[in-house]
Amino acid sequence: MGYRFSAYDTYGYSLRYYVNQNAYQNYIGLSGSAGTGIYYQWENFANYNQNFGKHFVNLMVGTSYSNNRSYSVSGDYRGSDEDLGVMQDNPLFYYFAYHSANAVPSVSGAEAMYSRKLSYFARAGWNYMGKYNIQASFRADAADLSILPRPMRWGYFPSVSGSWTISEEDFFRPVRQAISYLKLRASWGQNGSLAGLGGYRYANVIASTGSYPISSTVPVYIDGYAPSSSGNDELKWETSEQFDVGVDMRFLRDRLTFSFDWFRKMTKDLIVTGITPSTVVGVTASPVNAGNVLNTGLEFELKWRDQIGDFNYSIGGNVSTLRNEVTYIHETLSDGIDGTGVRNYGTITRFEKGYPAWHFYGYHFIGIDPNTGDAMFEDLDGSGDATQADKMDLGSGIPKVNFGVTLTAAWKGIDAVVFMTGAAGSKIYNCLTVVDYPSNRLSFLTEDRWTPTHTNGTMPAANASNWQQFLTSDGVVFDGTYAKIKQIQLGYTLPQKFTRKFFVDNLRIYGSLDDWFTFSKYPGFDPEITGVGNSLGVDKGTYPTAKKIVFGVNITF
Amino acid sequence: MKTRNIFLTAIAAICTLFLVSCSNLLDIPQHGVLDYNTYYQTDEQITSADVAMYLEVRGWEYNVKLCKAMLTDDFWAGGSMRGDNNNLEHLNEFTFDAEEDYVQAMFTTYYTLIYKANVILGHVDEEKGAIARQARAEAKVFRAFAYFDLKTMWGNPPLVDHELAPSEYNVPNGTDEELWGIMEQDLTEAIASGALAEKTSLNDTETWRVTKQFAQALLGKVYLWQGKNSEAAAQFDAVVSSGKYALMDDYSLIHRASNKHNCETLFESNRIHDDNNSFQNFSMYALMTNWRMDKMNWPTDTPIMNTGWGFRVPTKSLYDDFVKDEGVDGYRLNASLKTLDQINSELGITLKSPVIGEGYFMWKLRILAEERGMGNDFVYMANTIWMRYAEVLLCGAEAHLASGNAGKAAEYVNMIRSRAHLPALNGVTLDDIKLEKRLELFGEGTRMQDLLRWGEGSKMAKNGDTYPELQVNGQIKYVPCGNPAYGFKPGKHEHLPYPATEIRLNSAIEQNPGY
Repeated sequence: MGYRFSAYDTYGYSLRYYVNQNAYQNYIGLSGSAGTGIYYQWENFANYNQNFGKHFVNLMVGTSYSNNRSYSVSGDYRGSDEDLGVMQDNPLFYYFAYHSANAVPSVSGAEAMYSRKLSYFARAGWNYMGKYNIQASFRADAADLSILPRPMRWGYFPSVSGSWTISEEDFFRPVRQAISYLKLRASWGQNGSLAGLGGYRYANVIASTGSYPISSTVPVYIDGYAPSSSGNDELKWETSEQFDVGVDMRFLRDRLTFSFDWFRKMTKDLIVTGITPSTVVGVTASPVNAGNVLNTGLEFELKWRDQIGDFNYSIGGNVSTLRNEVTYIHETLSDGIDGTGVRNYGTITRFEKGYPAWHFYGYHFIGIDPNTGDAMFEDLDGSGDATQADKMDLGSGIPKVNFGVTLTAAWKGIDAVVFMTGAAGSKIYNCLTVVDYPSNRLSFLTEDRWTPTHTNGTMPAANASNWQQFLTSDGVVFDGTYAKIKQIQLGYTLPQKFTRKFFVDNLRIYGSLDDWFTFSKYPGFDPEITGVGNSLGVDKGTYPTAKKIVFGVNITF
Repeated sequence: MKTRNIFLTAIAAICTLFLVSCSNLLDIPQHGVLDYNTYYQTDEQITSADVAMYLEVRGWEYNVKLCKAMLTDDFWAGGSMRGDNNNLEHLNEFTFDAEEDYVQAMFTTYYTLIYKANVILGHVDEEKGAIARQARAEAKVFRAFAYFDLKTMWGNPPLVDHELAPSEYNVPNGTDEELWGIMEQDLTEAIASGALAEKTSLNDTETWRVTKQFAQALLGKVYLWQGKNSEAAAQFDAVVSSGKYALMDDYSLIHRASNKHNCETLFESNRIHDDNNSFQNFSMYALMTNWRMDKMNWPTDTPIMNTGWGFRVPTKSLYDDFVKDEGVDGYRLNASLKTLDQINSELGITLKSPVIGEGYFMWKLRILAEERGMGNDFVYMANTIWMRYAEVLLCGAEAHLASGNAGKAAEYVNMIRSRAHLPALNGVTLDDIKLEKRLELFGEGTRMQDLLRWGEGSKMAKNGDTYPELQVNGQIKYVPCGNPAYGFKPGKHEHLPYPATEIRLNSAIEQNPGY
């Protein structure tokens, strides 16, 4: 059982001020608020473990329930140009009880908001002599009414996994010298997500759209009501189903380890919110289970660890590949869903069948017109103009390959680690340029620009007429391949015999360079930092990762 | 051991039982909403659904009025300097494409109104009584109101006459017959139903609903745009002969907040001075279209609102047409536009740094400090007028002239002229009517659709070649805009583009040529 309680209250007043004819306040404004938040979670588990000879069986069942309650009230009083708002101009009167007769109050809140979850789960496992292992589990999760409609509330997610430690088998003995450990494993499982749902967005309800005054002289209003969304009473859990097969091996007295995995993950019924099926429908669409996305890939890991006298070292690396594709889109969404856009120049990512999720979308830039300095785009429909029909797939922000390398070394009290990571095969859509008003631009776009005296420039002229189209083309899509040395750390642990004299068990001093070296051709700030979700791979100027030099001390008493 | 097992099992059972009942706790009710399936039954509910349409139209002011003004030869985009609002410049100079925000927003808002009308027509039963019949009639009027703009600006927008099921979301372009047909049918039924409100008398300032005469005027426009001139003339005559509308004597007071629902307006969106609910009366339009006050010097007691972003600036071509008709001291001219000299001498306002413009300032739709609400620049008290009697007379004149009734045409035009303190004309030509309409109704959202109907888009062929910068000394500097492609292009700009998002989301729709 876990419990968390928080509470706050505020009180404030704003004084009169005068800056100029448009920025001033002639009254004392009062405000106050209070709120509480309560969260509790209750979990129960029952375990059963039993050995039957060489077999070992374990069972577990459990439940979990959580409840979040938040409540707040706030209010304020305001005067006007002629009304001070409080009875006396004296801080002892700056409280609600002493408001002036004409001060205007406003209140909000006083509505407890709840969010609740309920789950049941069970797990069973069987192990025979450490050689064969099977485990199965099952989960049932329920979401509250604000997230899913009542009939679709429950999600059921089974999973099963098994492994065979081949190296423990009798027939494997002869090979044990070379391969000290070999295990084959496989798993299949589902789990659910309710990304971004809440607020009864599936519900087809009538809600207020405002108040309309029906007299032009006295404040009499009628409230307008209209359906707030199209409703989706079939909204359900988003399920990710993953199948994985892998091998773990160790060689040469456990110094060399290798593992390999192949996985296939299908995300079904992906929940997409905030979409408009078509403008002529006239109302916003509730969230839908929009589509299916397939991710498949391979992962390799290789590590060597050895010791020469007092010197320990290890070298490890991993590589993983990923292929991502949208395999199905709900029929009301026509060809696909628009993602993010660049200012108001147009949409630049789309969710479409047959492409990676939220792939880049725009014109294909084929060069600069040497006569005018304007950008030229591939004309797919032969219309002669760059129109919507000429937009096409420009790549994806999802890397095809991710890799990492870790080197460690230790000798006597000194330890060192170098950690590098990187990605390849992704693209980055650079959205740092604005053409509506004067602003800085990436020098990449200006250095080789067309000018009347440099007519073979590779970038458009500063006053080219189609900058907005250039910024929604692959003229600003770059290769996002990068490698970063994320950390180089060197540390020294003082001999324990020495530090124990000061009652210190362990004293380590270290220095490290974090995010210091980046290798990439990307002309923007940081190839690692881009958006998420429908902005994956889109660089809108998120603050880049800073290089850091860190010095530190670890002390254990 | 056994008792311990039983004890543990009992605890487990109790816990599980407790949690089974917990699933009811997940039924958290939603606040502030009503069930769709049982709504639209009582009079109160029907009225609320009806009022939702009025609220939707009130929100049109910013997009619709501003867009329509930009797509004419009456205005420059304006702003503090070139580039202050790219979108308005694109519209004004015809360099916009299907991704243009304002176009998308306008398109969406029309269909949102149509949706709300369709919901009422689909759910409110005639049998429920007078309120229900009135709501249904008003829904038809609002639906026709939206389709009129959609048809005349986009050509063949999709026809949606009921709430769409997901399988129907890909709606093809509507045909001319279908679109005009639904407008004619809706308006004729609404007028004939007898359920629409009517003003009680000429000086009734309380009626806030759409009236039978408004529906008739709208039907007249629907006929006029199709060339069905005698039917159109009949509708406009019905409004005139109702006796419930007249031209106001004092031209300068028509749009003022103190004159809401005056004898000349056919339909207005209401705002009211209410400090407790100031943001119900939010309006960005006033702030956008007020003069660029931060580039001017003005006396502290000036009647003009102190902040303004200076968009929708009148052109010299408009001023010149005024002078051609009325002379420099024309009564209506002086109630419509002011020159730089006039704002100096009459209001004591001078220019302190250059603004975009040719030296003419909007006066007819001026923004006054006393009409600002709650000490806040975003709250403006004047109502938005969607149609006034002058438009009825001028459309009626055009319909009569085209159907062979020149005498009636001249009568209507002379009513306008006499209110403008101008001498009557003996006979009117179409050019006379066009001129009067431009001068009478500039900035009120009629010119763009008129120019398209008259085939006079070429008047805007030079939009975007240069823009004017008014200097402090009154000189005008014409600065090149630098658009290699600008201005109205025949074969393309007779229609606005369907929004790019619509083209992508709707597989059945076809884009207009040139986009």
